Amino acid sequence: VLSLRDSAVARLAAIELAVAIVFIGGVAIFAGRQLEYQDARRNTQLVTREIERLADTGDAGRVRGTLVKMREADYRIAPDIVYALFLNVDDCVQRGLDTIGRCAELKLWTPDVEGERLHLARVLHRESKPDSKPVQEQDAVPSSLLQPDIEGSTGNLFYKARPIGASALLLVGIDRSVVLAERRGLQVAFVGLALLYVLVAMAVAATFMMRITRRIRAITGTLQQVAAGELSRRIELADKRDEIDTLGSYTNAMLDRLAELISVLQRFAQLVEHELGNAMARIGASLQNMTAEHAAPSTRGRVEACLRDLDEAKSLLLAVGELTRADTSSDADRKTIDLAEVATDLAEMYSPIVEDNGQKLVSDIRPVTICSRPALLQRLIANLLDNAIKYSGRGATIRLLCGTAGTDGFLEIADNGPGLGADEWDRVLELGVRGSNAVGTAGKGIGLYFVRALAAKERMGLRFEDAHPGVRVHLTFPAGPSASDGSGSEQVIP
Amino acid sequence: MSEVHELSFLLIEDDNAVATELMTAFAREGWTVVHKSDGAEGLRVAAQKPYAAIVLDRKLPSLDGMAILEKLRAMQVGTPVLILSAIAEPPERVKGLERGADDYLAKPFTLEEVIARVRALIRRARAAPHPEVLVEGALEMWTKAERALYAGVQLGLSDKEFKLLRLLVEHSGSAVTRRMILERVFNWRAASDPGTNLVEVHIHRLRKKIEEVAGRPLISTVRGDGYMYEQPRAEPA
Repeated sequence: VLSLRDSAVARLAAIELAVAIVFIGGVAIFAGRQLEYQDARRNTQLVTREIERLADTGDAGRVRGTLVKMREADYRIAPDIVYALFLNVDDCVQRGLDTIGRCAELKLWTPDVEGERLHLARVLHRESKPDSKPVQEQDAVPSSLLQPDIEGSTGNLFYKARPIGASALLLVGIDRSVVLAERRGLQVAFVGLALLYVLVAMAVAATFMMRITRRIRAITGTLQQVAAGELSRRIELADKRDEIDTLGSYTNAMLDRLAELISVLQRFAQLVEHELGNAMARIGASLQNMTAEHAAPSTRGRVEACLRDLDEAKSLLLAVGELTRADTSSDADRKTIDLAEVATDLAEMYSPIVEDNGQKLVSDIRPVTICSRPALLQRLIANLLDNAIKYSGRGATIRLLCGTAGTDGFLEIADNGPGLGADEWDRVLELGVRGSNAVGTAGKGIGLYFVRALAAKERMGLRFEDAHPGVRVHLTFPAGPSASDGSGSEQVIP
Repeated sequence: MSEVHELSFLLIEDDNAVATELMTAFAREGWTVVHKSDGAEGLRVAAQKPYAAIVLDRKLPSLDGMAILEKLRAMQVGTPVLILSAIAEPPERVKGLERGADDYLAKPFTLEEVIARVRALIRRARAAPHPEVLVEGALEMWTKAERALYAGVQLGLSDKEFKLLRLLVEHSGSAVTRRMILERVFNWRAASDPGTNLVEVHIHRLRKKIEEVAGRPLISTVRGDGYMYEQPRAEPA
């Protein structure tokens, strides 16, 4: 579970929590009101039964008195129950006062002190004169209401009228519309709150995911750069002290440790290279001075053999140094390079060897600009060319191609010699491993490992392919700073 | 070779064993060498007197070789400097050259190479800038047109062969090492040399082309690690 220390996410989560609280509060209020209503209904039933019992006595005055007391005592009556007492129906009608109708407001109806004016919050039916035609409304109180002991309903109003004596009338009604309206309101509110809850939840989730994804992408990007050899890169922390920051800080600590170890190894390698270089320089210079000073042929021969061995050791030392640098050199050493120029120089450099071997070098070199380390790139291409010349055999044709494919640069060296089995393509890139076609020839298994190390460092694509016959090594370079026009020329040497 | 006899060189190197061997080799060439093993002392001596060339190590006590170089150049001391260092990375070589060194040789080295490079430095310091025609006996090298003639007959050299011959002729009488050829003719930048006998093959082809016209190859192999354009003997009248 991730800590919510992201400010925007925390804000949204707070809104979400507030909506949830409102929703739960609404449910609680609704439940409370329902309980209160049920209680009031039970109470009202008892009251109604008592008022009806009083009405049965025919004493309208007692009924009126009871209703007034109920009002004064704020007796708990269900809000949708309507009591109406008409002390003089005729008078009521004559005065054009409101007759019984459906109430919008939920309150206890009682006649006023004089008993002549009725508090009706809303009257849907009205008769101005006794002989006037009643308004034709669907929910109008039927005129039969004034007849004794009539029960009926109109719309959501259920009523019962009971005459009290000769002229008075007690009406008890229940207006369901009030409760239904309240319920509808609550339903709308609940549905609205639920929708708001879902929307806020979605917004929280989307924002949360977006921010997490952005931070994880940034971490992935940094780790990709580290994997490509930029060991100085570190994950940028958001200073939120959450789990992602914790992961980032531990990863940074791990990278610091790794960089420190590599730095120690680099320094050690440099020290070894430096000290060995100095020692070999001393030995070499001393041996050379000895040969110059001692003319005895036997001594000279032996010293020269030592010098040749020293030369071998020197080459190995320099190659190991280059290999270390290919793995650890920084991006600052990278430069914009004309790959075609490097390839042309190397083709010219190797062409006499190709000719002497009875081989043919076909080059198709087109302009392409890439970004790389010049010395290491030169060494890489030279290694591949050298391998092709050495292992393709007499009479072979070696092809050197370079140019652009889409936005990327490429370089390809192929030969039609015996080639390498597909199962060897990956293996020969390992340190110290040599291909089956190299049996009986001198070598240390460093060249192709160097190619692999540099290709990985420079984010080049490297693949071996079957050239039918022979082997093709294909290198792709990420797009350089400027594209070429693709024009070029094919040369065949010799 | 006589033109660089009786010259005085400054060697700033803290490895006394290496310094002794270098001084022995320099003495064999007839050169005088002043040796300093401390950086600050080396700078002081270098600034005092115009030496023919300075051979400078990089890692030195009290003052680093690069700092010495920078200070010398800041003091307008233009003495040719050959850096001799076990720090062999190509970017470090470039850094050395950018800071004012005239050449950079990585350790381990051969004495022949040090001598050849020092000679090249002196020659370069004395040479007229960009001569249009190099004349060495019967050989004429037209540098702009990149044409080489021997006794008026064109040699028919490729671009690289011309550059190779030009390098040898510019150092006529001195050895030019394999490494110098790789760097200056083939723009080879990597610290270690290419594995195959590339230079030998190129020299062999060049010799053949010269021999076809001149009757002899004119390029000799110097024991150890180099080649030399031989001063042709005077043609009979």
